[in-house]
Amino acid sequence: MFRRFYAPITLCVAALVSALLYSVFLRVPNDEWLGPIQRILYFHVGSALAAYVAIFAVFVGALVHLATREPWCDALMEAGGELALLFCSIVLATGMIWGYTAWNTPFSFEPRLVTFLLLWFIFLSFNLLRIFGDRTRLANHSAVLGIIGTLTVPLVIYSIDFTQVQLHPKVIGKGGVKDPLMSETLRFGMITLILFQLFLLWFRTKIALLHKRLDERGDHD
Amino acid sequence: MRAIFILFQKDLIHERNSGELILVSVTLCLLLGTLTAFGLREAVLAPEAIDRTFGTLVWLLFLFSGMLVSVRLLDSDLRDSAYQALLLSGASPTQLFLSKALFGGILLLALHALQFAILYIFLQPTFSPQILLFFLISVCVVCCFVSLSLLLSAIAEHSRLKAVLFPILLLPVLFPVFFGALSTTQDLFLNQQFDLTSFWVEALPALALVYLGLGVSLFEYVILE
Repeated sequence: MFRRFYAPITLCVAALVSALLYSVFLRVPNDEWLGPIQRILYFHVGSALAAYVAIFAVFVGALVHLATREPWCDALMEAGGELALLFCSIVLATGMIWGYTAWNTPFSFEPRLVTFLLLWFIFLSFNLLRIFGDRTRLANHSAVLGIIGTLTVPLVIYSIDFTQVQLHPKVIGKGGVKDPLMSETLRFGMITLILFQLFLLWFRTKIALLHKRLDERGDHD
Repeated sequence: MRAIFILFQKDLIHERNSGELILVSVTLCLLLGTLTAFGLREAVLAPEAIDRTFGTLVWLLFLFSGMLVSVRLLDSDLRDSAYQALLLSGASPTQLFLSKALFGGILLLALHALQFAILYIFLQPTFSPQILLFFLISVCVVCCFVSLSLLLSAIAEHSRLKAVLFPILLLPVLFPVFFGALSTTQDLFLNQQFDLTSFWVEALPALALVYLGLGVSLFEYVILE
């Protein structure tokens, strides 16, 4: 049913990502204080939101799987888990580059940074479970770990309010970006990366479902 | 409730007959506590440094020995499909989880107390330990630990990397609890204060309830096929 939409959706996403790259590298001015390295912010914030969306997909997949045992839920968890790890890695890598320039240290044991690293570890362990777990119970086990892992996300989001000692700025909530062109690009980057993530999620879920069908056919043969 | 105590009794009787969990874990606690204490003494740390590191040491040792103990908690029941037999006999997964959590919780609390005593005797910190308040913190942490470790050890039990996968699954999700335990213990030992309105003092019991609730509702999915 969706086959005829593959090409237009892929083209739309490619156009959006190209527009984002054009905006970030050719349109937005350099930051007065940080210089060109500030451009990493447009990918850093958007990737963090994309990671949250992927984690939410794991959570939805886990809950629906435990209720219905539909095969697409396991496929969604598999895709969501991989994308959560990918986008958490992007957030950590871009954050380290930013941190080294802005604060003179790539990492600091400060709540937001530590808890995001923790999210990365949770989804690393989730993916390790997908690789090494018991095949016959993998969907159930992934669902349980997915639910437990997702419960850590609110801690990450609100961790910035817990303590007084903070390096990580609250850019979005406190309107830290003043230049209208910068804030417009930041918003565009967030929307584009979320849409890109949803596209990847959809694509990866379809692949996981095809794998499952092939495995089932192989079992029957 | 009665079924939970009967299952708890079953664990106690099994432990009395085999002694595999208590003997091994007590020996392990004594060894770890003594080695850590002597290691620090050997490093000739100043009394202030010992005071500052004491809380962290207590929880690190608990984490290490707790993981080794909890990976064995479900071993006898998952071996030879004993859980399937218990389920067929009419016990519900919730009862199985609660009885095992009660057994594991009591065992881990006892080991934690033993380790605390060893470290306190050997390291002789200068602060006065507020035992009752520390016990309350420990109950919350043990509750979180045992709930999560029962779920995750059952998951790791059937994997190809059984012994390695369990700590990999447990440690990241346990981190908020560990962070809370460290924060409240440092406040209690070093600053001699227990602020009921502080974030972690409120969060630890809430996390204990959340994880216990998760354990009760999700346990059946990890033991059933």
